[in-house]
Amino acid sequence: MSISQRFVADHVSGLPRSGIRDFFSIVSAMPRAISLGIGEPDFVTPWHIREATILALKKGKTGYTDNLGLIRLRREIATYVENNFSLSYHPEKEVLVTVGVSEALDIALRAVLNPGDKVLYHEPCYVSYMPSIKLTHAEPIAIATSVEDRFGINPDRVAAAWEPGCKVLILNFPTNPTGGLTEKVNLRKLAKFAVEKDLLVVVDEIYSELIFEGEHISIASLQGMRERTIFLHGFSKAFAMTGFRIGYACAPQPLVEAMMKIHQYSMLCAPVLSQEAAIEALRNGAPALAKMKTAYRERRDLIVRRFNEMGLDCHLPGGSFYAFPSIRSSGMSSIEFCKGLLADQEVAIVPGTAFGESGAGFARASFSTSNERILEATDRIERYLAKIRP
Amino acid sequence: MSPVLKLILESERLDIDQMAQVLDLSEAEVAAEMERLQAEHTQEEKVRAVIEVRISPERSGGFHLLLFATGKGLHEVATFVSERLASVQGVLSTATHFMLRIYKEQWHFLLSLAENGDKPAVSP
Repeated sequence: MSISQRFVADHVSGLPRSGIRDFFSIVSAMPRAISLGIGEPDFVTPWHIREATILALKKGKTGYTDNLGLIRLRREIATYVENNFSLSYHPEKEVLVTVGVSEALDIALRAVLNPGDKVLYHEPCYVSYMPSIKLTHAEPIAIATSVEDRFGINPDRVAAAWEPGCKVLILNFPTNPTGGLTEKVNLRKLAKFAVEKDLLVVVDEIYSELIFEGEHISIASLQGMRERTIFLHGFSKAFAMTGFRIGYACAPQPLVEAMMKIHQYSMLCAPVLSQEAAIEALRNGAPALAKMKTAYRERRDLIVRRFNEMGLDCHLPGGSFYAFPSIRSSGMSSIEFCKGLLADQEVAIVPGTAFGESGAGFARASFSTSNERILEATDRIERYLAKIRP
Repeated sequence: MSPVLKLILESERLDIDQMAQVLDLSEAEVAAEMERLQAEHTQEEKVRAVIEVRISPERSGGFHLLLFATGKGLHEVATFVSERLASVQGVLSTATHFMLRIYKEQWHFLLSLAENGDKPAVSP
């Protein structure tokens, strides 16, 4: 161990490197590869949002804001959340603007967890959940979701995974990487279970606009849940604003206050230009969002059809912009399959195990790219399968 | 809107067989739809113009009103200017500028997706 290595904290040393990062290193050395590995919209931020940002810059809006965020933005957020999620939060006390949902999740967990507390979360899931829990010195407990449930959460599995010391349940629907949704009947059961076991729910709603069938319901809006839920949302996916790094948390005042304590000392405030952009997105972003959503839906149908045609079983994701086909019929592990595909056909998809052990046997293919690329990539995957299948 | 027309307008470079795959139609259906669209001339030409107007009584400045007009073609805009605008009492003269293509807005080049090369190829 080098001298400098010795200075790294034990719990940080113990964190695994992101499987995505490992894969990224390989792909970035292959400039001609077609990537279905992208976890962000392929659309550029709509022009009216970019224009509002430029205007704010021209007006000289370059300073700090209130720690909680611009009150104009918090009012827009409160209205948006009320209109779209049937949830009422006070813009002055119960809304906190953050640097993306990633920061919101981090400070939510840090604000409520003591060392040794236990956190339930469903898997496969976004790559930061488990490390974020570990960074608070709490203990992560993964609940596997499965293709039989179209990767929705099964309340019985949550009950089975629960053990004394569990304090928080993290939920994310539609889910990255599976596109899984959870039906209202199961959400109700989860809500009942959360009340019964006195759990705080941290719900990551980042893909909630990108749902292709039915209406999205937030668990926070179910009876008895508002007081025990931290509602996290952001602008990255719905409004194609990943680089703006802007999100928010809504929760009862004591929880927002606790999160604010960390936010004010670590971030001070979210970037002002991103806050101005977010105001424009909430006020006038609906038509552009609807257009992008239509495109995602068409691409989803195309990619899922292509996977099933070539014998890679793929469930129809209910939301998000990810397909999660099973690669078991290849007889290979997720990582072998994805590395082989990249080397042989220069197509990048992400091994399911990058999103947790229960992603084994699957791979994530983003359809946040053009139909043309989806067709070319799936043709190449088909050629690869023809080579490796006996 | 016809799904075939929508794909064409989205300007992806797809052949007929690829369009058929995207739309889950047969190649014959796509080809027939394209023929129908061509016959209908549905891809209308659209022209935008900016028109400077000098009016009476005269004020200072090179022109006094600025009009933005959209028409199906050069001819329609020209007809509008000569017959509908120039004939209004008090209009002294007009100068029409046709917009051919927008390269910049607010001094910024409007980049295409292909030029946005800084995005990582794989991200969480």
